[in-house]
Amino acid sequence: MENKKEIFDQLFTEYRDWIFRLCYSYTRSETQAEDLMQECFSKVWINLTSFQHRSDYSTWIYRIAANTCLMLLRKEKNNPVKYHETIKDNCIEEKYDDNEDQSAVLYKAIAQLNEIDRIIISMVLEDVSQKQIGEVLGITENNVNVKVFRIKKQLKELLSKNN
Amino acid sequence: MEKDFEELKTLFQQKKASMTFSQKVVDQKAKDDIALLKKNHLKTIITFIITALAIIYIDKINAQKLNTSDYGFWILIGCSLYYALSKTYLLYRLNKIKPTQSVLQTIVQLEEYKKLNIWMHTYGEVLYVLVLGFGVYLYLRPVLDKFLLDKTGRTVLCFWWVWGAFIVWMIIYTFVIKRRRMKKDVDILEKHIQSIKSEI
Repeated sequence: MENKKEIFDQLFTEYRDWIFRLCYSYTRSETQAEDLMQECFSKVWINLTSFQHRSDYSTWIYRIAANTCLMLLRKEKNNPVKYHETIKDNCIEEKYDDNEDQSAVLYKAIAQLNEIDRIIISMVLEDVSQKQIGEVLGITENNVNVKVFRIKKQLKELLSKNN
Repeated sequence: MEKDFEELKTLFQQKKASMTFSQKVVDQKAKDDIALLKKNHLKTIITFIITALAIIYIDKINAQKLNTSDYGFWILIGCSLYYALSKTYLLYRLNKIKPTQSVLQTIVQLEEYKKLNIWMHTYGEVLYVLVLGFGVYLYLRPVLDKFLLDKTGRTVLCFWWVWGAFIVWMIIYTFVIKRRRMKKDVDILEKHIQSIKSEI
């Protein structure tokens, strides 16, 4: 149990910002991103003892985070009222963030990409190898390479459009 | 383009999680319910493997002094192995539920597991106890036959008292102790399923 706690603490310290940024690129609300991050780490804690080391911790955690974010999107789609509120909330934060720094523009552009592309670009921006991205998404490295090239191009277009 | 992208990386990584986010909250929120079920199964598996070994050992000693029934012996061993194997299967089903799969898939697997667990704790348990009772009867029959050669009232009373106590224990074990355990497991599973459903 003590060992589990130690591993969890280490993972939390190491991947907290990583997961937060992925969640933030989905929600664009710091509060919601932190809630999502909390959900992700709850799942990590619950399943830590059953982790079988078939992949790296980072791949496993990223997969949990990606699934959690995708579940949030599905939940919002199934709940139009809440989805509307979320968008409204995001717009308020968006204005605030736009004035605050340039990174908001980047996150806004990322949020305009499709669900899976958001995960891919978040990982690319975190310097995750293409091999690992492939493992998280269950696709080949070549496929990742093609997707990354296309997403980068699309992101560039969105950034210039938003600017 | 790559140079621009390096700048984007720096921009992206500027965002940090708030330091007020409490790690303890995560700890408290994350309840290891499923791990508790797995632990219970492991305990039962170990107990019943030890029981099977104990039966073999006791039979080895008894065989030197008494003429016990082979059928009874194999039924008792079979019962212990059935119990250990059924719990191993339940444990396998729980281990199959992975965090990386979709929430819906997890819910379906948990519901299936819940049904199987209820079946094993109700019908499975009744069958197990009936077969076990028959096994005990067969195993001890040669001993009981010798015991009943003396047909005095006290011996017969003693005989029925022991069997009566055994039958009462079987009923309490099957319909009270095991049902209570089943309800506890179902509560844990229900709670877990509800917490997952609330995420959808």
